Amino acid sequence: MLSCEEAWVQMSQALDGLLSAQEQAELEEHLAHCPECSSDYQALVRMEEALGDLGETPAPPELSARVMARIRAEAGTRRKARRPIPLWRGGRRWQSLAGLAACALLCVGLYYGAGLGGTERDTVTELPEAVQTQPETSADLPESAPEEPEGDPAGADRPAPAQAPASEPEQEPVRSVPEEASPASPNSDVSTSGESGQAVSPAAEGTRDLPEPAEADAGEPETAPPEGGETPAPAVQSAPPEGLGAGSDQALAEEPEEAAAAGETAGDQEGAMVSAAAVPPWGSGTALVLEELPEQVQGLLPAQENWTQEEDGTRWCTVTAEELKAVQAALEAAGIDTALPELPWSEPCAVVLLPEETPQQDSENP
Amino acid sequence: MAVTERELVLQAQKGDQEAFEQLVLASQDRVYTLCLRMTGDREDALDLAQETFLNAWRGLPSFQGNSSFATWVYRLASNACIDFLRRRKRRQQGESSHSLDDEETPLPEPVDPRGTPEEELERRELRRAVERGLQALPERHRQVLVMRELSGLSYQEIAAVLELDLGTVKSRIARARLALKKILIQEGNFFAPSPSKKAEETKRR
Repeated sequence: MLSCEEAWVQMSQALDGLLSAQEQAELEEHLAHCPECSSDYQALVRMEEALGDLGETPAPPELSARVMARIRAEAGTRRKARRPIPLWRGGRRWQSLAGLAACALLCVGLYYGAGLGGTERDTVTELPEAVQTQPETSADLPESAPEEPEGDPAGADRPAPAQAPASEPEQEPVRSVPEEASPASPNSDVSTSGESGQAVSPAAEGTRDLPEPAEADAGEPETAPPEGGETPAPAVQSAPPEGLGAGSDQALAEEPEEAAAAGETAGDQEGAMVSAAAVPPWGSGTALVLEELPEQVQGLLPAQENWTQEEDGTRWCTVTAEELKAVQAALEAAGIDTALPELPWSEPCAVVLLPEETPQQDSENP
Repeated sequence: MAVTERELVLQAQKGDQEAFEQLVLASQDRVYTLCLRMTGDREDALDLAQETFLNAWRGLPSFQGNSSFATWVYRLASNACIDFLRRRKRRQQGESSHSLDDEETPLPEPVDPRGTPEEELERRELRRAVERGLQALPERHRQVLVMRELSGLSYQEIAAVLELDLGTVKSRIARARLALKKILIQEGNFFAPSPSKKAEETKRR
């Protein structure tokens, strides 16, 4: 004879069709003589019915969407990590050898002048257009100063030194190039610190190769033996896109530092600021350079068909600093490091999408 | 041509994201239901389910195929829910912000209306009552009832997911049902036969 406790367990299994014929008979026997268990059984059936009615809840569509988006983003990030991306391909209007040389010089000078040690991504900011032989450069410098992450004290200094070189864009490049070996001289004009000497040299070389500002990734303006002065890349920003990897032969000498800083942080993707040997088409505001546009941010930005497209396939759009902050937050939430400098950013900000083919170094060097 | 789960898993292990997506779609309702009933909160359920699938993706290389993928991922979900509940218990005493209890018509209604409007209403009341009862159960009981009653897993499947033997599953389910009955009796209305139901019940029994 079943006890009521045992009967309950049997009832439970009866519900699931697990009783043998004999067990079933035993249970029925018990129920016939036990009104409590009998009503318990009714309760059980009723409960079972209601639970079955509840059934499964369909997963919302965003579940699989989010899962696959994360998977794609992670796969993309890993794949793209550490790949040097030359920013500028050949034929860019806004680049010129002289300009770059001047920039390099200025950058170096500015950097040292500002006393920047170049640790983090100091995206300095674009090089004044002095490079492009536009006297306005000096005006740019002060602007860029605030962008400098470490900037404060440095920033203040920079504009000043910048002025000098800025006003003589034409001359600097000429001077610096031949004077690789004598770093000190050009620098002394612009910088207040002594290290610039070395920087100049690299700068000089760097400029030669330039056409591409580049990715000076971790800063080595390759040509510029950063080591020498490690060139704390004063103002330029390299947009070390991913991997600031080696690719940067072209990097401006200046870049090195901040490139370095930016480079290592960038790790996976995008990054930094637009470097500036010359002002890029999207202006001198803070720019986020990406190799691809992850889903997380597509909704935050204008539709891609409305972006400006350059000859080489680079696409960009301008955004407010607020919008760029939202993009940065979305990317970082997905584990993508953006290597943007610290606030405040210079507006109009830009989001730059590099063209898709394999990056190649521009070989415009003389 | 239908692709088997096994084939999808092999493809996914090679990095085929589409194959993995198929696997997700095939098991997401079951996983989401468990997460939803265990946490009692839609947002938490979505997060947990998402994490479960991401962990499955990352863990694919070491998935041996000793159980089916569905069982494996469901087990990941089950463990994630238990961990989550433990953490939540430590963090707070109260309910979560998107509690199922707070909603009036929280979930899609079943699509097979059986009877009169009164009967339908009653059916809905009973569903709400068992829902509340489920939320009030201890985790281990809630877990097996969700698996057995809501998702219809067999005892064997439950044993595989929870890595328990069949006997333990049988007794745990019986105890869970008993506990639920007690909660519902305490709540008061569940077992009081209403006039409209009485005749029907007599017929059914």
